Amino acid sequence: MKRLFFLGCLSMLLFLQCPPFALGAEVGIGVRVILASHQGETIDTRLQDIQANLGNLFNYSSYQLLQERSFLLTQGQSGQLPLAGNKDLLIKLLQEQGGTSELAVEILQSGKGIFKTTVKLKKGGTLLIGGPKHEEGVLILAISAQGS
Amino acid sequence: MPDCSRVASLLELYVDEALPQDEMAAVKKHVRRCRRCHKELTELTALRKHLRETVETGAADVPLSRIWEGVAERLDSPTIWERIVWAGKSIVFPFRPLKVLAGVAALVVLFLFIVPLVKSPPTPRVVVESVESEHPIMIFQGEGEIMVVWLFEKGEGKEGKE
Amino acid sequence: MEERELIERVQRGEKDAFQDLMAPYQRKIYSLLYGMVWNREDALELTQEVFVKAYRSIRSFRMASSFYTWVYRIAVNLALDFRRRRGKHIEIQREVDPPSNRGPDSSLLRKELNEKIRMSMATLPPHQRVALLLREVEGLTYKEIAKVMGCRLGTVMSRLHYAREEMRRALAPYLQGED
Repeated sequence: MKRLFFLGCLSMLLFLQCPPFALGAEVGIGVRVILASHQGETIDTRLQDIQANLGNLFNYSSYQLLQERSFLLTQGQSGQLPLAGNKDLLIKLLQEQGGTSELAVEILQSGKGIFKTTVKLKKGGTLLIGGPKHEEGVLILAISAQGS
Repeated sequence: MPDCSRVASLLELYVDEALPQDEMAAVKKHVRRCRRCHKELTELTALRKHLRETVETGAADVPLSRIWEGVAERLDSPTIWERIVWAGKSIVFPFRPLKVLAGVAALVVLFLFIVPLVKSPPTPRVVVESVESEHPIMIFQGEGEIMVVWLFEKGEGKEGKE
Repeated sequence: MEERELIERVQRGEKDAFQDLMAPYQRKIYSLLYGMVWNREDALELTQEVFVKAYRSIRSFRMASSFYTWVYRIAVNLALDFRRRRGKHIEIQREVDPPSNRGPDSSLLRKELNEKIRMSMATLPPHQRVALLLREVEGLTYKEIAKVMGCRLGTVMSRLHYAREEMRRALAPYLQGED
């Protein structure tokens, strides 16, 4: 009986080591568009999870959430989000493997690509793209992997 | 001799001793003979005195040994990871006759799995593989699981991490 | 023993050296946290949390920076995080009368002023409160506060200015006429 229990535990451990089946997996990608500026000292309460990071990384006094979108993408699929100033954000899931999503992120200005990056994101990881000017501040795009 | 409005704007820097020496002396001289600025200065120093007293009085009679009791307890108690390892051991090797086998198996596991894990650094959650941009960019690592790509659009000065 | 040597010993895993390393800061850290939460038990718990976190992350400390600003930074981050977790439900502890040798009137006035200061501090925005405490109570310079709070000198000065302005407004009857 004890031997059976022992073998059972071992096989369970081996099973846990196996990667999950990943064929056609859908990946959730969250995008938040933030306006960072020196106008006032308010931080949008919906940015609480990254508030400390924003404060440590940048020197703006105000962070305002302009848009929030989630995309559920399968391999090869793209999601597009119109940004202020005639800009668009394009996110394409290149592949998903072992919990890591490889994304192509592009910013288009009037349909013309001005910035493109390829990035690997694991669940919980966040890529911040900042700098595009908007009104009295700059835009910061927070792109996070929400897992499959 | 500086005028009142200028001194008023310097008073906070004066109480914080953040002015150059010559300006410190000029403000000191002005405050001695100007009632308005003297009153302002008195309020600023009184605020400091009372704030300090209030905090120090409130924090005074706490036995500092109590801090260390709690710290020692938490540093001595095992972390969650240590608990998981112990629990795992008790499940995998529950009976005595297999003690030797368990020892050998543990060594094998150590060499096959744990040693490579220790040698290779943990994979970060965000890896920027390539960037093409019309504007100059800067890439830097934030705290935790954050990576930042900053675009410097034309005409923009340095803005980002200090 | 020099601080640098103590840090190196703790980084090598010598737990005993940690208490010696932190001894000069324990009262200061506790006061700062008390000024943030105005509750002795919460301040005590937070101080313990600061020390545990400092111990566990001391390997990441680089000798090039100053140790006390590093410790203060941990304390400030934990205190701000505590404020966020508790939101508006922070309980301000009522104080027992502080000992006084200036007669009943001054003792009563002092108590009233203490209470007023605690209430006014509690209504300041957390970053302004931290700046004010670091400057007025801990005596840090603008540059040191900027390092601890991870912001620019200008931001420190403006936070201090607004905090002082608000405190002076709230405490006006007590501050005027002092000389």
